[in-house]
Amino acid sequence: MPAVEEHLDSLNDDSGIDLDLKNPYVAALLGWIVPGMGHFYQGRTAKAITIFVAVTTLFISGYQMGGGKVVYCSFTSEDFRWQFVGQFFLGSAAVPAVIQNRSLRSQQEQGSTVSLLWSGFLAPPTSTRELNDWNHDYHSFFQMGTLYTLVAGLLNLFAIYDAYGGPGVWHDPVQRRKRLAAAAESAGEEAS
Amino acid sequence: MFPWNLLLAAIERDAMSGIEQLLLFFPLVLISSLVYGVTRHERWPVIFREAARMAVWFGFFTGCMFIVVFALSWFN
Repeated sequence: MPAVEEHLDSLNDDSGIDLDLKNPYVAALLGWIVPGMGHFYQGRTAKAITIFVAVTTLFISGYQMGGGKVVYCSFTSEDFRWQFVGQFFLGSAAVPAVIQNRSLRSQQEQGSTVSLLWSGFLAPPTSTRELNDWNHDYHSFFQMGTLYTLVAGLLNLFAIYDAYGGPGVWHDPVQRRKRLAAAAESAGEEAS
Repeated sequence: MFPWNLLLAAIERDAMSGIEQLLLFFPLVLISSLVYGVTRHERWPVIFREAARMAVWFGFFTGCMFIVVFALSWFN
């Protein structure tokens, strides 16, 4: 039995680790709001710090590169911002962006003078001309900033899943014990 | 001068020339590989091994894509 266990644990996987994921739904929600917060809640502090530093560094770098204009929510026919789908997985940025979008669109529907919330923080462009100006002013850095923030959001999706279900190659300890028993049994049969 | 430009990339964008902008690819690959490794494994030695493996793979893949696009740009 120890030989079988040693063999399974030498496969570079994490099947030998017992993880307490606490409430996975709460962990996933916390991880969506702030990168790494779900792991922190589960007591996986080193992973929490790594994820927080890596994802926020990438996100803030991209945000700065694009002059703070690259994260916004807009799904109109003139400006279909598909990249926001990836950025959405960073909840602390996604929620204000969605609120800004709703606020702007309702003002435009009413035909009133547009007044952006929070000095335009995470607001979509008010016109196609403004969007063109952003692309002109920040040129390739607008695209690079968008890419950085998009990748940061997608990486946080991985992190959310890790907080919810454990690492990608992790196996539930109960399943591991079953696997070890089955391996020991087949080894015993071969010996007899 | 050059590392200074890279550090200031987020603040002073025009400080980077076109070719220097290619270096923005490296932090992207490093961070992506590290976070991918962190979300795949729980043990740090395994995480670092996975991150290094992924960094090489991402680098190779995007390098190949760059070469193809760069070659195609000659015909543009």
